[in-house]
Amino acid sequence: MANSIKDKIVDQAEKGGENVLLDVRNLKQYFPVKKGVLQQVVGQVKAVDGVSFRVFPGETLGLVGESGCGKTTAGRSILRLTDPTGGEIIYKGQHLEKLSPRGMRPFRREMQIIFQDPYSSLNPRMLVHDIISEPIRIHHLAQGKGVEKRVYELLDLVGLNRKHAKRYPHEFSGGQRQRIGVARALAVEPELVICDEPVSALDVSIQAQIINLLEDLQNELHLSYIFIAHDLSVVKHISDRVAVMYLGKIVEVAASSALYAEPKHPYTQALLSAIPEPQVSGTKKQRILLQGDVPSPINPPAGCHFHSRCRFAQEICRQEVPALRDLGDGHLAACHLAK
Amino acid sequence: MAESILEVKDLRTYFYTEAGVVKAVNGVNFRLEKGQSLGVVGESGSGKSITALSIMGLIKPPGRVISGEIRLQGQDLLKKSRKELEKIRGNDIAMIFQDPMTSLNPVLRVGEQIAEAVVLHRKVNRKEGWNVALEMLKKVGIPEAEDRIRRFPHEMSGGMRQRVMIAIALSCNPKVLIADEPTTALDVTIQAQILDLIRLLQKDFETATIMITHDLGVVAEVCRNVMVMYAGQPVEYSDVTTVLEQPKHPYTWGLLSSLPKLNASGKQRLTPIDGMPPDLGNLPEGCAFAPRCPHKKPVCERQEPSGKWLSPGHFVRCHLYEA
Repeated sequence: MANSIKDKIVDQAEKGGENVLLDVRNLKQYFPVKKGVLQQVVGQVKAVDGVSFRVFPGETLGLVGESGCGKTTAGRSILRLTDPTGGEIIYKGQHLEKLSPRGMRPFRREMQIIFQDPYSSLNPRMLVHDIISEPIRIHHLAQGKGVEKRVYELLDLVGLNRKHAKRYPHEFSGGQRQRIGVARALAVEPELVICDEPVSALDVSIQAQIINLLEDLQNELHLSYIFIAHDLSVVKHISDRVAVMYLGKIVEVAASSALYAEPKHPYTQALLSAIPEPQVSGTKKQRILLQGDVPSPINPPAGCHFHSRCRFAQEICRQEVPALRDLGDGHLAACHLAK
Repeated sequence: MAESILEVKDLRTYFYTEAGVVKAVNGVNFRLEKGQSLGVVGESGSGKSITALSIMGLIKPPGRVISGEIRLQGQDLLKKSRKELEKIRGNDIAMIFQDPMTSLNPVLRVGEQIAEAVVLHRKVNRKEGWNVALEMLKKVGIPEAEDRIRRFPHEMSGGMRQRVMIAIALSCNPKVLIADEPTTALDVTIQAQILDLIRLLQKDFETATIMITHDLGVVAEVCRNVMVMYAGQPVEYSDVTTVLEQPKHPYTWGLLSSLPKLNASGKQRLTPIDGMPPDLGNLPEGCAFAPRCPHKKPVCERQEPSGKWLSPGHFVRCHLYEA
């Protein structure tokens, strides 16, 4: 049952269906580089440099890439935690990028975020009860006894004990803290949750618990996720569609199974081939070793950002920025040579 | 049997804290042969890093190695004086740490940091030390080594810094190299470069390697044998193929089924291990894994399993196999 719904979502996404929850168009987020006593702006860090993607109701869009590729920044500017330099963020037909802080408030209830580090994202001086009830009170979602009831419901939902409400964050393990973070995000009944590396800080056995929890909650509450992570196996597992980022740009978007079975962009190919897999026998995959490091986002290479490390690079790659093209079946890649 | 370089017997390292005794390493045994590579896997708090630090003689109070033997080519390191250990550390045994930024000196040029170890252990002058440093930087694949040798750590990327760490560790041609999560802080494409380098150097230098990691994929790439640790004890030891394909301990089963598989077709639910790792200051009676074990028997909660060699080279500590 759940699978057929998921298939429908992917299908819809591939056909460019009508029912879009979030439409991000050409999003840009630059940060000025300042120097000297006068703090003159000498350059721009182009953390996110023209990113476009859509999220459909009930789907999980994975956003992967190496550190510094702009995946976290993209998540933050969608929520307007930083003000985007350019582009459009359309949530249910509303342009979020134009809204005042007050105008944003109702949307803050619908879009939530779960952070990577469960140690620094919870206020150490607040009781778990207060951490979870704060958003409920801010958005006036319950009064009096209702608040407490809701907190207990949320604790049950994320698999914590009701007596945990009267404890402080330091009394919990990493996995339990992440559950508190999830409960806080769900307190306001959001529709879209941005999960920013929610399991990266956890051990594998605990990581699997949280992944299962996120999947269950999605089915139960019909949530949409943007799942930001650098671990490609985790992203493959949880996502319906995956977008791969490199140096502030999306280089490839496809249904999760298609992306992993047949990556079209040379960067995605290299990235997938680099994952060490816990198996010894069977066919060893051919590793594509990338030379050197990721270039600086202050001064990215001209043309295709990836050409400096690409084994297929040609003249055109050095001059022209490749557009994200549809190669069929909703499999998009930004490469001059991809077919 | 080949010549054994390092032999660890019944190593126990406890931390005496105000809250009680924390048994971080609680009876670790293994031997390492020349040129061999051993992977030590386990989750945080399983005692893998403390095992490494105990071997290096780097345990600080309130921690103490309370019993056991660590034999490097027959000599017990635990019986050495601090002076003697200083000669061995960095010379016969070297270590690479997880975070290359905090383990390099930020105010020294990388060349000086490599030369320092060489001058100290090989009794050569600074000029020669510098030459060795340059040679090592080239060996670990740093481009434009003549220029990079004069750089400071902050001028290098994470992958380059880890290469510098490896250069320092291998500069004195150690017999044993301990790598503690050497690629955890790196991106996958850079991790692939470093793992390739480690494999190449294993062959070149014939250094015996202990690779500490939580990533079973990394183990499959670079190790011949694997020791799985839980709550300060090895629970399973065998060659890498056996551990990954025919594991016997329920904890190893749990670890493997917790991992999302890249080659899985369709959506499969993950099978996590229930519960949490135990508090090392307050270990349960019996088998430490029993509270989370789906196969536990009454005996598991009463008595600690002593461990059994199922075949030569395959050790398991579990009541399921004890008759």
